[in-house]
Amino acid sequence: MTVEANVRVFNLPDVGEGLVEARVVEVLVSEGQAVKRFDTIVEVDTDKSTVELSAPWAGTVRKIHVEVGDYVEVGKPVLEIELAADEEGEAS
Amino acid sequence: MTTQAATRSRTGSTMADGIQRALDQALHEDPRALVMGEDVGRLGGVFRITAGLYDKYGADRVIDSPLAEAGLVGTGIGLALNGFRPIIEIQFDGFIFPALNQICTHVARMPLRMHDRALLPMTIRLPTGGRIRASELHSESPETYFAHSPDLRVVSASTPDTARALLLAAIRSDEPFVFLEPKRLYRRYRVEPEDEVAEVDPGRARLLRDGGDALLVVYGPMVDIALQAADTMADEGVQVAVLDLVSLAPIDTRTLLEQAARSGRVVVAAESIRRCSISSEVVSLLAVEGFGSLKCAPRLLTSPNRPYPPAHEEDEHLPSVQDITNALREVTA
Amino acid sequence: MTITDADPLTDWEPMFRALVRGRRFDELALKLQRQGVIDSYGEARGQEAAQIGAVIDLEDDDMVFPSYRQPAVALERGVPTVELLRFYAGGDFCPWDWREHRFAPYCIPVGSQVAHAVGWAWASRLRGESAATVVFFGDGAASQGEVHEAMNYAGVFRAPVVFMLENNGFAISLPTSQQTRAEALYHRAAGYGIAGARVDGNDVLAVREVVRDALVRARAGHGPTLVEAVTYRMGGHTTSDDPRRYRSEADLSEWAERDPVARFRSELERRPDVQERSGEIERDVEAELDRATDEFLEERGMA
Repeated sequence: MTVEANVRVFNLPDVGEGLVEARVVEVLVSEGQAVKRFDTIVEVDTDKSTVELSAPWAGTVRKIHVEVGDYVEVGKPVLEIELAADEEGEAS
Repeated sequence: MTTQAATRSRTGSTMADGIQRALDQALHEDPRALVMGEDVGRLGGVFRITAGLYDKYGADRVIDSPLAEAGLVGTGIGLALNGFRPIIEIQFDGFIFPALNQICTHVARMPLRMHDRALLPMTIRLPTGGRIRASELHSESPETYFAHSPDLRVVSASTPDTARALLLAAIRSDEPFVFLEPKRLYRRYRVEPEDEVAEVDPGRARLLRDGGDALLVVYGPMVDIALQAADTMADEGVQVAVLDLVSLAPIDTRTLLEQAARSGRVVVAAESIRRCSISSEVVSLLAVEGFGSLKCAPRLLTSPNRPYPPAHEEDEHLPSVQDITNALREVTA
Repeated sequence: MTITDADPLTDWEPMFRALVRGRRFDELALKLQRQGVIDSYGEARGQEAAQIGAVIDLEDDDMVFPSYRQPAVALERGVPTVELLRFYAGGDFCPWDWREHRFAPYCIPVGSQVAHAVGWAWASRLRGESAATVVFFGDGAASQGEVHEAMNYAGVFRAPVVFMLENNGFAISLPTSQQTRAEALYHRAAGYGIAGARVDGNDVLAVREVVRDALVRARAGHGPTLVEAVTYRMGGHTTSDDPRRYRSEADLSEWAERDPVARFRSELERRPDVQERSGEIERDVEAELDRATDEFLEERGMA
């Protein structure tokens, strides 16, 4: 999906060697919340285990695309983060 | 230049002599060289290939190892990584299997894994082949397992005039080599010193006999059988070229295709079973890359796809001189 | 076992730094894997003392052969963090200069590195060097025939090698009690005629002492030692594993109380003179890893 230059989309990664999808178990942040790099943002259940996902970037949670109970495919958006001011310089 | 099967004289060097002299020379010229294996030291090896080396170079250079092939190759790897040049003897073809893990996952892969083609200057020597009335697992042709593990280089000795130079080339190379030694041929033929070849390119196939009517492609224990078949055909007025592959992995495709193109009539023969064999690979290369030059389908003479049988059945199991001459008559008909 | 009057904590700083760095790297790598930045990661959390205790006293020309679960050791041997991360990212089987750091590449075929270590050590001995070799492998690997062969060779040829057997309780899901009926894995040493010892793998000072003895033995030409360091794999086998399927929370929390990094930290906390310095070291390590993360993400175009 296309977003502004200072916004990053966090898509569901393949956390388990050929994963196809995961079920959202817990959402640990809310829209508007400030997050640091590596803060835990969401917990998902794969067919192998329950996994904590963390924020790759520091900034503010702009939009959450999932709800508890949703099945998300690998590569599809989980949430968007508007980058903190000092990270904008690295936006490419 | 044609090479005849050496006559059975009492003078001259055998293949075993050539191999032994190569090992002696390697130990002499390179202080990093080590000869290792079961019974290679005090006993001089079960085929006496390493006889005399232990007395000459001592227990730190000619090493009697415990009975453990995986450990032998594995520690050989460690020695090679840390500056030595191990020349490892596996006692018999059928006993290489415990070492297959170390060979396939490490010897073959480490130079790529660790970004250094010269990483493992080691040689693994192995007596192979049958027709010797031996017990089970003493007559195998396991070359395919190594050929299927790039980047391992696999070569086979075949004649007494080239064995020494071929082994020295393998030892001196910084790449890991599997060196196959047809045990039936260890002492079967002799060659005079002046007829010994000084240097051999371990990557090139050798034309042992020239002939424009057909090409016979062989290696290792099939070489003398092939030369006998070519002799028989010459009596019938058919001139057969005999090509010794020498290098089984990689195959010298250029020489193979050049020689095949001369007559377009090819017979490939080997002791190994047909399925996924070096010979099948040769036929595959001819079909895919040399199809236009072939005048007829190549003939492939191998053992059937069955385990090597008990000794008294091996003559039926292995391709014979007769099988080869029949095939040569077919392709030149 | 040598008894010394010297205070074992005199040179605590490098040990503390190495332990903390190992733990922080582990946490970082796990998070990066859960972000999809690296493909797969095998946590070493809980095993830091068994690993650092074994290598903290090594010289530059000593050699280490890891299995595939010793990131703390890689970093201690000087492998740059970015290069270590590159391995987990899947692009290169050996991203670091193994000769320079004297730290061999990770070895995927279980247990097969032990023979390599023996050969390397044997070479040192043949050249009359004082260098020693340490090789890591686990309780599962110890069942592999090749590991037995390697230890036997080491005994026969008096290879100057220390076999660090990290008994972390599991081989993926198989507990050690089902891996073997042997009461203790170090007993095997007697079978090869080599020295053996068992140590609390979560006590870095104890591990250090035992390995120190083993290194002295090795360098003196008296051959190898099998050191069984009893520890616990706090995380899963890799990030594809779910350990809750085969072990209990109770087990995990029992071992959490023996956390090796926390244990060393509380040893240090008894000395008010070190507290400030230890805090500095922790911040240093954080900053170092932060910089390495930035560099790594830049490199992958994921900054």
